[in-house]
Amino acid sequence: MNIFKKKHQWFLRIKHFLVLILVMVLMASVNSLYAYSYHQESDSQIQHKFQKQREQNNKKNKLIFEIYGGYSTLSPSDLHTGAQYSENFYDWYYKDRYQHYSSAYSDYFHFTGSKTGEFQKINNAFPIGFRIKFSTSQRVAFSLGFQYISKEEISNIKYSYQVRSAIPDEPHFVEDYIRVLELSPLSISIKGYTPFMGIHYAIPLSRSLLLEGFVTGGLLFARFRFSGTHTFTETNIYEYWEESIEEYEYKGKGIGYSLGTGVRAEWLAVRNIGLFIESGYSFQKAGRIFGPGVYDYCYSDSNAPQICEPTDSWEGYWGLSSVSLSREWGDFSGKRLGAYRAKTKVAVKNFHLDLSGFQLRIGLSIRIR
Amino acid sequence: MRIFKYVFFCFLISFSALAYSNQSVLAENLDDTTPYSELDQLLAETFRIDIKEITVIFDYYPDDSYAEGKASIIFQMRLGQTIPLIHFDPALRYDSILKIKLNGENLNFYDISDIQVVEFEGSAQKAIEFQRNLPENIDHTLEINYRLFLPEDYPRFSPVVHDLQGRGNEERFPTLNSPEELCRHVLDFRVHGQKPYVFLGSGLVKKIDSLSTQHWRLETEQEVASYTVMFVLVPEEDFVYEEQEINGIPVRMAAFENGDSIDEAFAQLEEWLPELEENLGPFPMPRGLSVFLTSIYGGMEYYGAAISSLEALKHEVFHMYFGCSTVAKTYRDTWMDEAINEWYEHSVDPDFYSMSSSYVSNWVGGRSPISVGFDSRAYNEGSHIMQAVAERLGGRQEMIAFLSYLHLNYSFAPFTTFGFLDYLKSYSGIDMKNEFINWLYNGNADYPDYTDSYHELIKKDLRK
Repeated sequence: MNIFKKKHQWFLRIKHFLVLILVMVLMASVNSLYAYSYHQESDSQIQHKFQKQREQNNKKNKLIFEIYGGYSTLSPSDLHTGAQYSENFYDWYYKDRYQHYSSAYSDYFHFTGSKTGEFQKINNAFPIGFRIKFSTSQRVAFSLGFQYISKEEISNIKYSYQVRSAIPDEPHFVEDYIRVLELSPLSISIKGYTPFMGIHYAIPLSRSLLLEGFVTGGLLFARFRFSGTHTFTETNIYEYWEESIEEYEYKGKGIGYSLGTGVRAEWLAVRNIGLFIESGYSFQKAGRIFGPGVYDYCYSDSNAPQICEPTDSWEGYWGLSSVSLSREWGDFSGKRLGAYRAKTKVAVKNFHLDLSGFQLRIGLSIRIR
Repeated sequence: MRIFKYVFFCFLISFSALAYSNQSVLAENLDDTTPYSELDQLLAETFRIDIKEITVIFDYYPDDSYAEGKASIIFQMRLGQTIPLIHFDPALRYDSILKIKLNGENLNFYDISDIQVVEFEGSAQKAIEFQRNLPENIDHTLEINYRLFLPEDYPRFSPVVHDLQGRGNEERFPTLNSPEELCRHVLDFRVHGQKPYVFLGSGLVKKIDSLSTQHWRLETEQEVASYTVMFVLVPEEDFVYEEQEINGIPVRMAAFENGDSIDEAFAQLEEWLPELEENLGPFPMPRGLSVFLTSIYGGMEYYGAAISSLEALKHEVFHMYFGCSTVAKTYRDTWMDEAINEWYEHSVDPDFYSMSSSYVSNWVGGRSPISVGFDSRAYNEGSHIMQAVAERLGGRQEMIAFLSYLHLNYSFAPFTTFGFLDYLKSYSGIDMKNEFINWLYNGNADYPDYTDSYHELIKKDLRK
């Protein structure tokens, strides 16, 4: 029932938005006709009218309300690094290892199987926001606003291998097993809340077209969530089997800065309503990310029933710790998030939520008075 | 209102005290050191026999990828037991048995009036049960001739022991797969082939003069658990072999010609063996150490021997003290060997932390005392538990002193986790039973009440 209500509300919102767009298009058409009528008059009359109207507008419309939505490129690299650690590790541990053994010990090592799926990074998001602009002159305006950005990506990765090995130079010599590891689902998500102030400089290109440059600065309240389930099973020819299940969820939030710059074009579709498109770059980064972690682990094998660890939960500043391993099939180095409680200052400084990116936004500006 | 508060407070105090005293009483009951405890009773009913000596003659045919074994096991029945059994897994997977004789009587492996395959609730280890009643207190002899099919890929004949998975040398000869079952082993290896072979093994190894075969005899001399007996036969042409003496300990090492560096391995041991001797006591194996050095990461410790990569060598050699001489009574108690080993390695870091007092788990208590293998949490969580013991004792040096005491006084006398705690208490006065019950037995002190659930013998015809 709740789902129906939610869907219904969404539908109403979309409906309202469409009606709004329709009204604007109609008003713009009327405005075009109105503008066309000016062409019937002489140039001097027209220029006089433009001048007069602008002056009136400037006098009247000092306060402008704007709402927008858009597209942003995004690459929260520290989150990606930490969250992709497992995939990189198991690529190295399974794919690289089996490939190496298969070529280095082709007579003794045989495997079938593969990896399916891959880690899905957050590459973009859809910011929405609003701002109130106050014009201090014909060209200069200040603004206060708020922007919200969020995105979630879910990955499903599976390593599935059947191995038969009798490498003479291996401690256990004979191995014959099937291993399946599923990292599924792995979920990463970010959220950013940005209250900001801006300075805008406008250049009128025509009576209904404005070009504007702007810079903004504000605070970024950023959040992340990283959760995953790893399910591992192995069975071998000695009738031994094992299964382990790891589940974890890491969350954190931190405060940072937001600096933006860009240009925009605005079309005054009707007297008090404009449509704008703007593009620019936002530097948005938060550090000292603090939050809770929860970790569950259960293990069972052919010799024991399932034994689960008590849920481990904690709070702390998140960081990235470096892991380096060297084995005969190659080296591995990675940075790991959340598998430990970041206590050191170095680790804390290591991890940032970077929500910077190019943004393209479209929106409505409504002149209030 | 105040009187109610007072009554409630008194009730709370009494309840807590009662709960604590119950836990203490139960903890006392966990003591497995009584002469024939409930645990001994369970082990007797599960393993039935007490092996005195295992003698096996292996005839190895590398060109045909098989070995024939002629095993002779001398044993007595354990207290209160009459029906003998043995562990020998190849017989359960393929047609490997050629002949079985019990006290001179020929038995038919496929006749259920002679032999049944049984398993016990709580353990994945299947057993071959002989349908004969045998008296206690006299020696009995079991003779089994069998054939082992070996990988055709490469002519290496060695154990396939994997203690974490609970796999021992019952894959190679009839025995009991239990760490508390210590016995003397005499294994002969006769290689039938033209190529010269290299042999490495536990204990005393002698080359026997023979015109028709290459013949070695391995004698453990000491009574040891079967899964700690190592032997490796590999073609000489592919290997480099070297012997050195380090701190008076004879060390023999073989490695693939293009494999890991023997020199590096010896260099490691030149520092490691003196350190271990200084901290824990004389090297436990009088015949020294044999190392089969592998290039691929990993390792397995054996009595006076290791099959190990360079990276794991120190770890495996440490096991000579804990795992191969100071030994656990049950498989699930072998977590201590890994925990002590990992603790020794990591506790040099001053930031190495001890297990939180609030940690509660069941990775020892959740396994039956007769199960095989142990939980992999032994390495990480176990090492932090040992750090907690070290902190109670006063630090790393004090812990090392206790470990040395433990090794020198209780080698080859298998003990449980609670035995370890009893020794800790008698050594230092420190009682950590309640902490261990929380960390390893889920806070439930009633775990020894396994008599009802684990005594059920499941008889099945499990032969394939």
